[in-house]
Amino acid sequence: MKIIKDIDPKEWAELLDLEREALKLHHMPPALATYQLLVGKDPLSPRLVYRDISHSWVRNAYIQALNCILRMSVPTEYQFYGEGGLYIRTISGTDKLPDISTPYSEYIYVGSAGNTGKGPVAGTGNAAESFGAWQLDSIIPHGTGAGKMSYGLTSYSFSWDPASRRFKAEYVRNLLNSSGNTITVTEVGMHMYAYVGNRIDSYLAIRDLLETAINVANGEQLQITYTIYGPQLPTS
Amino acid sequence: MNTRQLVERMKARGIVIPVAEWVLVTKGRVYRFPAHSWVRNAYNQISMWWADVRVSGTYGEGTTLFKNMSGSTGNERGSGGVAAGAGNTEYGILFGRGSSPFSLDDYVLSQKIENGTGTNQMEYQETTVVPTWDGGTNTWTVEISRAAVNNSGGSITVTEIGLAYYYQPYNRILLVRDVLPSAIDVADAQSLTATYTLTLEFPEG
Repeated sequence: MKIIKDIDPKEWAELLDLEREALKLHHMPPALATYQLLVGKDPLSPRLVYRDISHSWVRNAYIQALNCILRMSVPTEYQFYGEGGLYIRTISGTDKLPDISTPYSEYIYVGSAGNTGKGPVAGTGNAAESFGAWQLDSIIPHGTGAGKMSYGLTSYSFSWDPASRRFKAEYVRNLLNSSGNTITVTEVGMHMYAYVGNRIDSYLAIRDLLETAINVANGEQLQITYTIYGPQLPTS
Repeated sequence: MNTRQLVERMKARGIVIPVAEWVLVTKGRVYRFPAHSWVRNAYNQISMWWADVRVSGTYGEGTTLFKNMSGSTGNERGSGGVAAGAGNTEYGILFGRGSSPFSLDDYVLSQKIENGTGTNQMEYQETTVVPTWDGGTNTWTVEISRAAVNNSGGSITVTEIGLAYYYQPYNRILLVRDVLPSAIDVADAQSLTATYTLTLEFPEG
């Protein structure tokens, strides 16, 4: 399978240009993300088939970030999820106030094997990308039955890039198709696992709809990598 | 490119960028200027909140460590907010009299004005945080505000301002330090009110 989609260098260059402009104007640059998908029978040498800039931080992610900065006492009129609301909607559809008052040492994107509530996830839905998305359109469940894939452990690496002056986090996860049939992947995303409503819960932070579906044959693995870049730091 | 154009171009790409402004008022005079000066702590914490990235080592270039206002360092994300109570100068909006130029590595004000009625002290009121949603522009505006009253018996010259947050159990972390474009004299028996306005324009509602 050849690469069916790759990052548009012009689009990436424009984002980096906007980032530089933000720094020039002394604004906090955005966090950017990219993702790539590899497929193959040999888990050690899967082939790159799809790579793109992630376009879809969803509302949950921004509300969480706003709350991280301010940890506001939310007025009654904003105690809901949706347009004009300051609640987060978990992947199970429950609306909660973000609450990260307690320092939380667990990694929020690092799911253990079989845990689809944290880290990279894949789906078979076709709903358009939406700022208000709070779950994948149709997540592929963990397992070996029809329409299921076995989610592996999320591995991660963190680094500082002195050239671009920003931190980078890379999250990698393999999903093995042992269902007996080909599974057509059409969407991917990132589930975050953090304090909401005074307890830890899972919610969607990123959802990306693939421009072209990817077939994962029985016995093949899909490797999802999300790379999240922190804001570029100024030099002084 | 100006800020408005930047926000619009970011929004067209589905990206939200925070824009902040300070407004200071004393004795009817209004001073308004862009809030420019996120310090390293803020960049590192925001990297952690979005990417959950942690790079250990020594505080400074290339690591995600924060330095709290006591000078201790740590490497975890968190926030207990900025809504400090009256008299609390450990976090919230803070006023200062220092003249050090801004540095990315600032973790305290150059010379913080302490709470009280003695010489060069001011009585800090509570820091309030008020969010407002504008459905017409899909914009969150959060106003963080604090007044400090000068009952010291003399004039106090304010030259710097900061915003810090608190989280348990031990950290008070400076996120923003701005050196004022021009010093503000707060006469005895007068108050100075500072409002830090953070706006986030969402690509859709």
